[in-house]
Amino acid sequence: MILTISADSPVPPYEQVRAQLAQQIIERKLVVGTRLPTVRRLAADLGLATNTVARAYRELEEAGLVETRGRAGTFVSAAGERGRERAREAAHLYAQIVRSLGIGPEEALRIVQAALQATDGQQPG
Amino acid sequence: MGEARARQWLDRHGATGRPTTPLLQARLDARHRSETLSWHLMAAVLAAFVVVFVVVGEFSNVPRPERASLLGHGFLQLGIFYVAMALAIVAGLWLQDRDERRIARTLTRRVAHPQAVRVSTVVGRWFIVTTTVTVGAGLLAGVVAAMLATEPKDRELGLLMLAAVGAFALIGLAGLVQVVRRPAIADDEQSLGDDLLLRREDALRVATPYPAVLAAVAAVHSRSLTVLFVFLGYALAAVIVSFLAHWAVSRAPAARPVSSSSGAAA
Repeated sequence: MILTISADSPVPPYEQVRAQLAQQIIERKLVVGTRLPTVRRLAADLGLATNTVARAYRELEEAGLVETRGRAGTFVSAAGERGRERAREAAHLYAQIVRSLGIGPEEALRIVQAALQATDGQQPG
Repeated sequence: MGEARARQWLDRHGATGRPTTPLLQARLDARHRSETLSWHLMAAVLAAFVVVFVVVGEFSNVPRPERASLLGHGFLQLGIFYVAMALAIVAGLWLQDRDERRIARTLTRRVAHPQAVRVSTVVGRWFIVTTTVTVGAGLLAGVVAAMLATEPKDRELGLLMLAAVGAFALIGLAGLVQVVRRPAIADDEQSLGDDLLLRREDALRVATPYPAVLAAVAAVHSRSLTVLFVFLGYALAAVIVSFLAHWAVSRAPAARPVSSSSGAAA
């Protein structure tokens, strides 16, 4: 499990850091409570300016994926876990509604897929 | 030469089938230059001490017994000598650090651990064992010798031992900070694992067993059997642990980058 920064990539370095950390957190490769490297340390390791890494961390914090605990450092937040729980609750509610409306499972799934595709273009990153 | 050095390093760490990379070659070349500088500095320190304490001392007009009492049976000179030797190692590490930063600037792709890596993971458990024995037990040996001594000379030796181990601990700490704070220099997952193993080897370079040599000299000059056994026991333990640590780390399998569970501080 590594973070990679390529100087040749057209993607800005802060976005490379943000996107990779976000992906590893969402895929649970970085588990809840894992401490991230300090901004200064990661910047030195990747040969980046500290502001670049600080921006990536700030955006991850705004997305609720990490939290800063003062001087203790930056940690993978439990917000991602809570988000999944909310998604499960919403799915359960949706299942009850489509059943009460007499909509079959296949059509219900197609409606969800269409809704997901419609929101794909609206999602950042 | 760099290719052969890298091949030898990989073979020693059990990665026989892995091809060498220009990055690993450059890093091992930097280590070779650093070690060469350290050896040259050590040779200069040795030559200076031979001139000052042996040649000048031999032809000095000061009567021999007075010189001996002034210089604590040669223990103090030896302490200064080994501190200078340890500083030579730190100077070599400084040169290596400078070379490695230059190598890092040439990389178009950099990789790093996405989670905080504990200092204990960076330096490895053998460094911790060696430091605990060399510094911790060294300080204890000095205190015990000073407390158990019945002769003022033995008490003096115990206190000198304490001071010498303290000086080595400070120099070791300076070297350790250099090793731990150095940025990771890697361009893929394998080289990130190599980086960790190279740090462990560097950390062991600063954990010198010199206090053990001083303890052996102190044992020879001690006047009671108890103090002699305290110093000899410590010297033996420090030498054995240091030898085992260098042997184990030099043959450790090429490391993999730390996982979320082993390296992250929750």
